[in-house]
Amino acid sequence: MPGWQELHEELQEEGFTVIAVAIDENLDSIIELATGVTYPVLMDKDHILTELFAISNVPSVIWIDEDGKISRPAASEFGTDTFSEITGISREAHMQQVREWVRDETLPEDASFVVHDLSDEEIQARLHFRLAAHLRRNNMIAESEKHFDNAIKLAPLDFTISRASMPLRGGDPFGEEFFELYQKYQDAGSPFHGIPRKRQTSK
Amino acid sequence: MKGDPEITILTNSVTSIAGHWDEGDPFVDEAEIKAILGWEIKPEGLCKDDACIPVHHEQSFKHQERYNLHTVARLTGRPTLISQELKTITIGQPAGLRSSALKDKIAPDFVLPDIGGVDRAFSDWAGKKRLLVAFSSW
Repeated sequence: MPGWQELHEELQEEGFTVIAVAIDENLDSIIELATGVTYPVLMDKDHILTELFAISNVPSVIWIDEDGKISRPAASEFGTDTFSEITGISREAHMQQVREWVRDETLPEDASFVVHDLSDEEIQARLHFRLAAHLRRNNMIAESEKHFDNAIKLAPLDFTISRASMPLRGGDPFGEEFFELYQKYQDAGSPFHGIPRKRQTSK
Repeated sequence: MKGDPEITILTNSVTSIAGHWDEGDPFVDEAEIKAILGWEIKPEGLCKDDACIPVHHEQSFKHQERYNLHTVARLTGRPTLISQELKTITIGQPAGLRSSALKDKIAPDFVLPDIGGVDRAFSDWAGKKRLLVAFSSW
């Protein structure tokens, strides 16, 4: 988030703001991540955004103009280069594109990409996830587990379902479970609702 | 209100209201249909602004003076998940909003609390170019 903060400060006098939405219910962690952040940070514990915009992983970054038109649809973009070796995505190229959008109304070629809609299974997975999270908050653990299982069965490679459920079920979203999920995701060709990236050529 | 709350509704918030179940579907009072889904029941059908959806061909739309929330959600483009054993219906976002976002590039508005607990609408920042960043701690 410090990376987005730099961009926000640089462009905020030019009719621009970052708005971050945490697809998360861990308020303490988000408050910690938002240390030093002056742009708005919203909490989406029920994953409303992932259904409204067909988001399947984080970070997903969407450009929206003054009139509420989507200038560039969801893409994996990062505020820092912490993961750039794994993802092959550098922050600076994107940040430069944002500057050109804000200052010159210039859009990159990939801005016209049309993100494919959620399948019925992916929509139902979101409803099961929402119900599971609600049941868990009410300490109905057994019922909650059942609906988390249903959600993952319906959308196993959607990170906002599979990975997001890990901390809610006592798992570790940075542990073995995650690496297994990431492997399956890659084996399946990295399905993602957003602008596709050219796959890194393996050497 | 008749009797105790019998139906829990998960939409963008959680509410429990009076109602009853019939053949696996939740039935609620007319006023609740408008409160929950924003559509009104009129002689022409389900209406919102100038638009009306006919309902006369719908089976089991009404039962004991209450209306089938499942059917109304379906007719108005909202996905549902019914869990009768939990007396709960989970109602998703209107599919049309997502399709406008993806195909027509119209960003749907939404309201979420900020980290201070204050509800904020995305449209509060209309007039600015906005970089919407979905992120998480997981």
